[in-house]
Amino acid sequence: MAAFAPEGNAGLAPAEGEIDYLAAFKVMLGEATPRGALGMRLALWLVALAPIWLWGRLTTFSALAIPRRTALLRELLRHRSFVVRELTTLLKFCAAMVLLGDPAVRARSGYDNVQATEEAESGVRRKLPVVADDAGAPVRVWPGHDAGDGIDEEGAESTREVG
Amino acid sequence: MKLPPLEDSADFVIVGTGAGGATAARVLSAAGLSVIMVEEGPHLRPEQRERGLIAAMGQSMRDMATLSTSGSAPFPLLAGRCVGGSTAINSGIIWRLPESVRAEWARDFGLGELLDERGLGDTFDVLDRELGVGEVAADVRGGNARLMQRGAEALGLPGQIIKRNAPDCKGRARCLQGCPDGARQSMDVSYVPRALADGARLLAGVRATGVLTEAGRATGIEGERLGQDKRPTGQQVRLHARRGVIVAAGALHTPVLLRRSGLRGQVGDHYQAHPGVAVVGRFSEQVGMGFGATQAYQVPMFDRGFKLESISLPPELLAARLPGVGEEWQRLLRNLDYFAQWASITRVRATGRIRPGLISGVHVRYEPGPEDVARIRAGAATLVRMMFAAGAEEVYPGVARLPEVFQSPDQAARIEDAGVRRQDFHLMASHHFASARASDDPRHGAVDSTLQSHDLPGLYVMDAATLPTATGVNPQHTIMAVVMRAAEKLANSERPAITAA
Ligand SMILES: Cc1cc2nc3c(=O)[nH]c(=O)nc-3n(C[C@H](O)[C@H](O)[C@H](O)COP(=O)(O)OP(=O)(O)OC[C@H]3O[C@@H](n4cnc5c(N)ncnc54)[C@H](O)[C@@H]3O)c2cc1C
Ligand code: SF4
Repeated sequence: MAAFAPEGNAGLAPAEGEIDYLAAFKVMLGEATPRGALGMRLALWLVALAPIWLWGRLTTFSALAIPRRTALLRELLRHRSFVVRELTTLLKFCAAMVLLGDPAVRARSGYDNVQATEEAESGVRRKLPVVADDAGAPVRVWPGHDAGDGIDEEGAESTREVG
Repeated sequence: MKLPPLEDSADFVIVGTGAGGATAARVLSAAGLSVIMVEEGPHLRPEQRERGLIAAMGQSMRDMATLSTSGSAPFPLLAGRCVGGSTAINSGIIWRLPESVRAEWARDFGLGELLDERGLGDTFDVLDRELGVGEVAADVRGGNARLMQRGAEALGLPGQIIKRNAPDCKGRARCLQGCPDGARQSMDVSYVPRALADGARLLAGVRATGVLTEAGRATGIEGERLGQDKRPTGQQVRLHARRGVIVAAGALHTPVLLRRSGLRGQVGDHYQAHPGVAVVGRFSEQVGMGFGATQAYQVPMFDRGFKLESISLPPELLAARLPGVGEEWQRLLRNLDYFAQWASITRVRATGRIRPGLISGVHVRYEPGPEDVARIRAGAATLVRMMFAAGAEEVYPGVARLPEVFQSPDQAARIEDAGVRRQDFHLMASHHFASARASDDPRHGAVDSTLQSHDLPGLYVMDAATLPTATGVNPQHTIMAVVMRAAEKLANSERPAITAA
């Protein structure tokens, strides 16, 4: 995946090894539907073996020099076959998720350059008649999952564990 | 170690805490009825919402957006999976059901009473008040929306500021990850806490696996408790419903739960969505997509079957949308504050089918037809023209087999060419409908006009699945209004208790 944005003159990509593409890819693989995960694996193989089936050269993607990798990816992204195009796009999507998910890269991208005005930051414009999350309602998460601290048993008095 | 099963009972057990489920819980618990809400996803506080997309999507988006249609050219179907459901990750755009669609539903599906024009209007008024609906404030509209307004005005298109349920929006452009300020009144910060304050209970991290029945009536649900890793812990859950079971798992998952519970008939048929496409433009002036309400300006073009919206996505998704690889891609990525992105959502005519997956999950067969594709083409072409009219230097249409970069508005016509196929677009859909639609005639719908199953008394469906067709507009408000009216009727009815569990 690093081949989508190799270290170079553009000054955006981090130095080699600075971003763990593989770890992030595994997280995404773990969250995907079985079909989605299959697609992601297929995409890796498709690109890994592309020099053979696309260019007829007996080598793999990782054995190519950086500029050749880039050229190959470009060709795959524009391929006439929907499957080839989409699977390569899926990998580009994963690469973008990992790359821009890195705070240093994000900062270099300029995405956050425009800041909120003071007025926007200053808070409440209109009072709502709804009960806000912290407006005193005893949140009875019965015995469910609270992302922060696992299980919150408050309010579980009516629950019976049987057996 | 095998954990002992959990059991409990209430008047109503509600599966799902999204737009439909939370609204049902809010109404029924306010009426003094006891309610247990069951939600597969976690309960997240606003400050727990992650900014990075991988972590955020893992927290609250179903299957990390990899759920897709089946067939040779699949496209992604997005939905939330956390307390608040899809409302927790949506943009909070508010639309009332267009009168033409309301009339069509009343006439063709026998829903005249449920959708009585005045009554429905009053319900929308209540929702507006309770959720703080209003136009996006001028100071948080952001550059992306400002440029869209400029483009629409230059072409004389009927643009307008979007109305949202985010009265205190600070313009953090992070709706997709869940609002870190709780400013957007998604169900997790509005109707779920309100129902809890009225005595309802919430069981998060539990997946309902089936509807329990007794003597031909729905009497509860069975489910399994999930761990933080989203896998079953082995602990079974049985919840008994004295008055009714309400399934509100969303239009993608409701039919799966119902079919796994043995219901057939119309369940899972007639599914519809609003497929969307996005177009990106590069401007010489700074756009600053990183600031502003996620969506703040729109151009509804109902006569042509589509609606255009400004949409500020996180940098990860904007980056993925820019053309090229290597140095060429990185040069664009270094200037992410100079891009605008707008989308077109289409009201399509095609209907599809939802079935449980072979082993698990959902199988969605859905393919837009030729007329739908013509609308998709027209929407994308209009976006390109608007981009140039707003001053874009170049536009990336995102249509395969066409140039990656358009340099002039004349090129927009190429998208409208009949040779451009459905597979050439990067479609995705986040509005889902009609997979257990309401109709007084059991030959045409899975539930009746009270939203009760035609085949299983005591079972109600109260989510987007019951809307008879796609709305053509952002659906959250319509789902909530329909459910609010049906739940009020249910609360007021003198139904006998089903069991004395
Ligand atoms: C990214 C995105 C942006 C959107 N933007 C807008 C917008 O701006 N305006 C608008 O009007 N609409 C928008 N929508 C659509 C809107 O959010 C949905 O139409 C609406 O939330 C659907 O309500 P629902 O109750 O049918 O389902 P959901 O809100 O999806 O809720 C269903 C809930 O059920 C849970 N569930 C599913 N299966 C089970 C099970 N077996 N056991 C327990 N729980 C289960 C799910 O985890 C989920 O929390 C958007 C949607 C998405 C995904
Ligand atoms: S755009 Fe507004 S509502 Fe959305 S996340 Fe940011 S502050 Fe919250």
